[in-house]
Amino acid sequence: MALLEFKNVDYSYPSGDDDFVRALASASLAVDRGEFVALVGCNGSGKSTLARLANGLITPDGGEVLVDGKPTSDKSALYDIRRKIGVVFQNPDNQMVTTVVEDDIAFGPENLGLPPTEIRERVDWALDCVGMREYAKSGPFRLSGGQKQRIAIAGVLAIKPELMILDEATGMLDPEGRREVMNVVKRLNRDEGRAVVMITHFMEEAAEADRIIILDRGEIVADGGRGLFKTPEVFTRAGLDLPLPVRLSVALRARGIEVGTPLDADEFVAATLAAISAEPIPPQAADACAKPENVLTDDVPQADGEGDAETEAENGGEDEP
Amino acid sequence: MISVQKLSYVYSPKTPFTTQALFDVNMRIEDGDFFGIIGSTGAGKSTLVSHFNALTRVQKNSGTVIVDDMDLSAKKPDLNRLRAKVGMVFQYPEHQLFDDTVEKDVRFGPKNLGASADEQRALAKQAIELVGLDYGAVAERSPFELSGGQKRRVALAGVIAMKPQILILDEPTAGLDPVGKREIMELIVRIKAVCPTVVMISHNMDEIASYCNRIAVMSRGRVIGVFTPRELFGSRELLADCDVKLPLVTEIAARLCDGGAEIAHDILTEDELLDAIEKAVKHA
Repeated sequence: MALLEFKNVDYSYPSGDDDFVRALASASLAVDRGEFVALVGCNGSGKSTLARLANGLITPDGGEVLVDGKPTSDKSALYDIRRKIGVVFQNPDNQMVTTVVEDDIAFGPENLGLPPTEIRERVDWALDCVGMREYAKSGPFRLSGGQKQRIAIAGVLAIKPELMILDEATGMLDPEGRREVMNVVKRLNRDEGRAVVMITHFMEEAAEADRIIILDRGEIVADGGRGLFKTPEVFTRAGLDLPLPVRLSVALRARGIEVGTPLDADEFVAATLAAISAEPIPPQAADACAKPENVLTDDVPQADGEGDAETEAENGGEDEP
Repeated sequence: MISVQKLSYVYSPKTPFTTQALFDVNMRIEDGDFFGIIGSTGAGKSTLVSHFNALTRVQKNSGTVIVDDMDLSAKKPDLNRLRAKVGMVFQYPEHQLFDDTVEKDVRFGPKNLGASADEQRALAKQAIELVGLDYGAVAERSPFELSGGQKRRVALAGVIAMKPQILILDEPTAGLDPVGKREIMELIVRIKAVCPTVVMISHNMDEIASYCNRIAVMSRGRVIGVFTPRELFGSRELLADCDVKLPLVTEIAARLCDGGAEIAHDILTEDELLDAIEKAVKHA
């Protein structure tokens, strides 16, 4: 049974007098234990709605959201659901409940009824994870925006949920801080097998996930592995950028230089050096992307072999400002 | 011109929660600068810039802040004149939209500065058009019905409508999707044509490298130095000293250079990098 499952979920927000804005339309997806998923899409594509539906803060207008098979519409299951699914939202100011940082982080574990020694351990561990141990006794409202975000993340870490959803939770952090949080999350995923759904605008972060889901105006338009980057138009059509190495490779292809589809700086540097010295591209760089799975839009060309050169060149053109 | 001398600042002095946010900060921002401020979270960036329009007042015996001819450490600086001159756009400025139509929200600033009703309307219209919104289409709409990127434009228009000469932006692109980020940066360049001095706090090294002519690096309440982008991103020693990460474009260029390619190691934009790679490939 999937840890989190959306079955044809519809959700609309009221807008104006009698009007509604559709935020999600028959969205279906399943996240299993241990998965690392990036959820990407433009502002207003329905990402945050999806996060709020996942732990039952809101319930669907149509369809079902199931956590370990229990629907979020069942109020008696909510306590259990929120233990399993922890969400860190964008704005940390809305997530602080006490006047001392360590109390704030202890709030979750206390509610779980854990023994005091374990609460202490978890609070210290969570503070270490986000590099904020020295602020344990500070007042959260004296901290900077980025520091508050770290505290909000620690607060959810301390609950040790089976699935953590980070809703652009690193948006206010400096690059170093983003890297640290990413490392913590990856470690939790790898060593403790906790599932992660990372909602992000940073495509370089998305490229580190095992699976990528793209939302466009309330619809899931693609759901697949890193191979999705082989078809850049799936991203650009949803109004998204590509990770810089992919973007550069598309632009180079338009200039007649082939470096494959490198997903990170290492692969890009290796492939470009090979192109410059006119040697064949090292196989690991060329094969970094498998064939895309599950591209849900029918008219996206499948990247069999080298793909449709014309479409890719055209796309490279669009990328120019 | 903004001149900061020996500026210190302490939050909650004489309480158990006392924290010093700024230590002896010195810097000078010239007219016409696109001035970047970088540094890790909690470095004191927002505390520093909030002095520039006297939202945070210079504490006693804690240095001076001078904006053109106004000494903000004086007992009673002319706050109306200062706030007409220095426009401040906070982190997530759209959280501060409050009125029931876009036009009224944007008029609020000029109204507070004592503009007549006609002037308010004219200034609001100009500002809304400058931020790239269709005045006729949005003026009477509620700002809360707009998309995230549009809301941020409205918030910017509210500051622009006061015709500031110095614009302070605290992470203007945080939380926007990549397309929205680019649009806001292009918009800021357009605004700079009418508001010549721009001060921008950002964590996005790519934006800092592409747009700023001078960059102050802050760490733990101190300004470590002020550099041009090429000085800073072209010197590995400096970057290591200042604990600054390279923009990804520059990092890739530097590693290609290390790998033996004929590519400059201090490249700052994607176009420069693409041109350099193309040249290197054709050359080989």
